[in-house]
Amino acid sequence: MEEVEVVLVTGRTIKQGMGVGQGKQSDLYLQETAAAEFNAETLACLQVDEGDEVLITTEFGQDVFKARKGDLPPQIAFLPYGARANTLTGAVTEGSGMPAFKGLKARVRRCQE
Amino acid sequence: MTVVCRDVVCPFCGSLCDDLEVTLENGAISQVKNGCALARSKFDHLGDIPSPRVAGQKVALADALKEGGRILGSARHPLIYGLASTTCEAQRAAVALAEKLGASIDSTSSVCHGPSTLAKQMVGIPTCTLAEVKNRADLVVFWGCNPAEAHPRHMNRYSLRPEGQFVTRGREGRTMVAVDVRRTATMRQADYSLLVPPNGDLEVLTVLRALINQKPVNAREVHGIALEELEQLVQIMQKASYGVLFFGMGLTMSRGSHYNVRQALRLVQDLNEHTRFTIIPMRGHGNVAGSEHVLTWHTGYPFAVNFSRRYPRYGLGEFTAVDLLRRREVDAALVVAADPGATFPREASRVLQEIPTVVIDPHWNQTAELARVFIPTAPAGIAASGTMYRMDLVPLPLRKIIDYPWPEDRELLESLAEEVSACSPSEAVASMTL
Repeated sequence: MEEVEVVLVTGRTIKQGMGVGQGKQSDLYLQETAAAEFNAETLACLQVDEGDEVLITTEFGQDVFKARKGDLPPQIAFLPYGARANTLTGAVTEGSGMPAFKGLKARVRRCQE
Repeated sequence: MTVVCRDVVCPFCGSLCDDLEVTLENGAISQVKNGCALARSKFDHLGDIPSPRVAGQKVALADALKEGGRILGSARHPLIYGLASTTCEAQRAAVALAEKLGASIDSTSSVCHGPSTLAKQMVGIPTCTLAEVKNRADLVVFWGCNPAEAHPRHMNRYSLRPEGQFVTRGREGRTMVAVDVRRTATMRQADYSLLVPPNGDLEVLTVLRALINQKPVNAREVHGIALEELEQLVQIMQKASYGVLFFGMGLTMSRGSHYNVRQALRLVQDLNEHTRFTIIPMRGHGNVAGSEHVLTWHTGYPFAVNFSRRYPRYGLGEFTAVDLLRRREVDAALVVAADPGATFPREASRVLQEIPTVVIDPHWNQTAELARVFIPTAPAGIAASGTMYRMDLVPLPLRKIIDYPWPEDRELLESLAEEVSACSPSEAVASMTL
C-alpha cells in the first residue's frame, strides 16, 4: 500500500472555530478536528476517497484522520487545530516557547479495511 | 420581557467587533445580529452550564475553591497558564496570585504571537490602529494568516472593504496581497497571491528586503518562486500610498519563528524608506493582546514570567508553559480561560493529568478532562464586564449583558488567593510588582 511523505500544517478553520464556540464536545468540533486535507493528487497516490481513514505518523506520534480534498499544493497535509492534530506535534521549542505546529514531516497511508 | 443590547463587543477573536446587537428574552439570548459565524456560535451556546467538580465528582463551588487553593498552596512550583479569553481585571488577579504562590505565569501568547513579541523586543514595530487601516490603507498584505476563517469580519470591517476617509471606494480602492503555504479562503480574494513552501518564509522575506534595499540577489528563484514574482511584489508594495502587513501563525509557528517575524518587521521598516507602511499581528483570542499588557504593567515582561525568587524573571524556553510541562518542572497547574489539553502538543498536555491541575473556564473542555478540579465561571464579556485589548492594542470595555450562576474569573482568582492564604498564612510576603 502506497505511503506518502507530506509536510503537516495545522491551522484554524471556520468550522473548528465554530466548534470551539459550540463546545469541545460538540459533534462539529470533534468531526472537524478529526479531518485531514490533501490535494487530489495526494489522495490518488494514497488510493483513498474523501471520508476514508488515513493514518498519519510523525516522529512524535500517530493518529487516524478522515481524508478530505483541499486546495493545497502537493505534499502538504492540512489539519485543523485540535487535540488530534497535537498527537503529531512535538513539544521541543528550541528555547522559544513555541513548538513547531507547522512544517512537520509526516508519513500518510490508507488505513486497513 | 424583550431587551435589545446594542454595540455589544464580541469577545471571541482579536477583532473584538463592537457592533453586535443581542436580543434578550427573559434574560436569555434569543438573537444575535451583525456577528460572524464564530460570534453566533459563542453567543448561541451558553446554555450548557457546567458544575464545579473535584476528581470528576460534582461539588459545591466553595469546596472546589478550597481544593484548588490547597493544591496551589502546597505546590513547590505551580504554573498559571492561559488568560487569553478573559478580562484585564482577571489577568491582573492572576498575576497577583502568581506572585503570592511564587509561581510561573504564562499566557497563550507563548504558543501564538509570543515570537512576534520577542521580535518586537529585538527591532521594534511600526504599527497603527485598525481605524488608520480603514481610513488610509490602499494596500493590504495578509501573510501567513487566514482572516476569512479566523477573523471573519476583519476584511469587511477594518481592512479590505470598508470605505475610509482617504480610501473612499472601499474594496475598489485597495489592492490585496495574500502570502501563504496553501490557497486559503483569504487568498482566493486576493489581487496578487504568492504560495510559499512550508518553512520558506524567512528566505522569501530576506530576498524581498534585499530587493527593496537594492542589494544584489545571486539567484533566479527562491524556494521555487521566480525572482520576477518577488520583484513584482516589491513594486506593488513600494507603489502603495499606505500599506499594511497583517501576519499570523504562518510566521510564528513555522521554522524560524521569531526570526520570520523579525524579518517581516524589518521589511516594513525598510518599506518606510519608500512609502508609509505598517504591520499588525493578527491576534487570535479575544484578549491575548491584553494579557501581554497586563503582565508587562505588573512585572515588566509580557509572558513566561517566574516568581520563584519573589521578583519577576523572564525566560522564553525556561518559563514558557510547554517547556515547563515537557520538562516536568511544575508540580501543579492552574489553567484560566484556555485549553492547553487541546492546543498543546500531547507530550506537554499529558503532564496536566500527571500533576494536580485546576481549571477555571466557562465551558467543560479538553483540559477539564485532565484536571483534578474544575471551577466554572461566567463567560467574560457576556456575563462579566471588563476590559479587553483589540489586536491593534485599542482597549475596549465589555459589558455584562446576561446573568450567570457562577462568579467571574477575577472573583474566582481572588477567592483562590484567599484559600491559598488560609492554607499557608505564614507565607505572606510584600509585593514586588507594580
